[in-house]
Amino acid sequence: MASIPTRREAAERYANLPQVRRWRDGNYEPGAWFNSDPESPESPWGNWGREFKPTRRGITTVDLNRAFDDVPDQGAGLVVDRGGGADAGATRWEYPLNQRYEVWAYNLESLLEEAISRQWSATSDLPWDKLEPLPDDQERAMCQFLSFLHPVEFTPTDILPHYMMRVDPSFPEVRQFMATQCADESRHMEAFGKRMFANGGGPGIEPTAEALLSMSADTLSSALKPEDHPDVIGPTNPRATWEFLGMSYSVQMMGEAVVLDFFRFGEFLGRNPCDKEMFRRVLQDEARHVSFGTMRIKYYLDHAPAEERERALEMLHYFASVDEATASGFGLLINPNVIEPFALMAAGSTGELDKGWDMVREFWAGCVEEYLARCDRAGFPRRDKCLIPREAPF
Amino acid sequence: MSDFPSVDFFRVLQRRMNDNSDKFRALGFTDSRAVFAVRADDELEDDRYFGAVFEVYDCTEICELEASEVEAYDPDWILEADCADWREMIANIRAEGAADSDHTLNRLSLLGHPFRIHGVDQTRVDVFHRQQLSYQEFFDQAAEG
Repeated sequence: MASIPTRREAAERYANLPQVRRWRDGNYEPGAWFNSDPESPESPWGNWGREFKPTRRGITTVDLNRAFDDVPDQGAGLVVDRGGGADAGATRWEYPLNQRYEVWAYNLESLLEEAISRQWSATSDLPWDKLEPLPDDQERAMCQFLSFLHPVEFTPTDILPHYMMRVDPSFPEVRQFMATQCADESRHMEAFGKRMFANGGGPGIEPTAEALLSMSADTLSSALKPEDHPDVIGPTNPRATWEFLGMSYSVQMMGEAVVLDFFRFGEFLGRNPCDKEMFRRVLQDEARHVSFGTMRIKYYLDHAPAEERERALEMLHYFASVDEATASGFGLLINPNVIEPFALMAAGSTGELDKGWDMVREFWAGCVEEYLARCDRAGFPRRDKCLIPREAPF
Repeated sequence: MSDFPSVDFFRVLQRRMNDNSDKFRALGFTDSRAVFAVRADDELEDDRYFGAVFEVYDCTEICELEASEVEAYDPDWILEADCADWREMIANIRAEGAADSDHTLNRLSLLGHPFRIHGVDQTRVDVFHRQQLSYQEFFDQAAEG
């Protein structure tokens, strides 16, 4: 281990830096950032002087990107703003996700702005004062439902940062959108955690939902076995592109779509303004995440080189088949600790459980249809391949 | 307030939304093209369609459409129900001051009945979910006056 410099050594080190010596000599002439002509092609001020007018929304990423039209096909490997310059000695990094087609989504900029404009506070934006006492069995069912929703929010916040740090900084919008998603998931966890206690209840049985969802990760590893794809995947590092693509499918397009449906059902079941508003707000957030995942897959499939696209499609279908067959996402709909409280809330009382289960059956069919519609939109239709029963298997 | 279904009814909602910009600004950007489809039933002789355009925090367009014009209007989402179900929802909003637990847009449309939310592109239909607080507030404007 290197020894720590003394205070005197550290001071000498500061004092001997070239720029510090120059300033100590009274030379305050600004550097290239000031002396280069912003309009020169060699200038680091790549976007200087272009016209940009704010709209009624304010200054949005949509407008900036429309005005500058400078999203590159390939990342620069530098931690710099697009159009900006870098010192000659700046470190270049090999970000695993450095092609635009690997990370972009058709609706990325507008989704990012929508996410920013629709942030909310679990503390102050929910009408907690309008939360009303529920019958004991209903409150217990609600708390059990929340005991599933609360920890399941760990899944995206565990997974997304892994990919954020691998996206080339030339595409900050991608990182920013995923950051809003992490903020959303954290807020959902906060809202559900507060709601569990707010009406006299508390956490029930955690239905191992995260473990269920993480089965997708195992499926992905299986789909990306190096021996099956020797020319695409390295022996120890499955190609980041396909990992990221698989994540968008399993987490954002399938898993979160199922959770979106749960949130919609939560709103459906809510019996007071507070529960209604909580589920309405979280479902808005979740629908953005699903939309990003769907349109990111579509962008990839529309822009990847032909051979890579064909192999990616094969991987996605394999991945989807295993996920569907093992119910890694839809398994949440057959988890007793999730669905039984659902049915009880839908029924309204234990004496009407048949009615509640009928609603859950209808809900199942709707979830599957919307999933298939999103697969159609993403560009890998599953209608003749889907292994999820179209009707509830109960 | 104007009778439902009519273009005047939706124009009143439009005016109230645009007059309450602070309320809608707090909910976030609202951008979509929508069609409200009112199906004929015992209370209505023929189907009727109303188009709406939402931009930023406003409703910028309300119009009535012929059935043959709906596709060309290119809606992101279509909210559809029988006339009696629309009227029940609106009556509830007027009586309660806002939709009660049984009459929110999501509650009414989740199972595909009595309302149905649909469109040609699921990602565009998902805009209805992404911005649902705004659309609920739009219809809750029926309570005023």
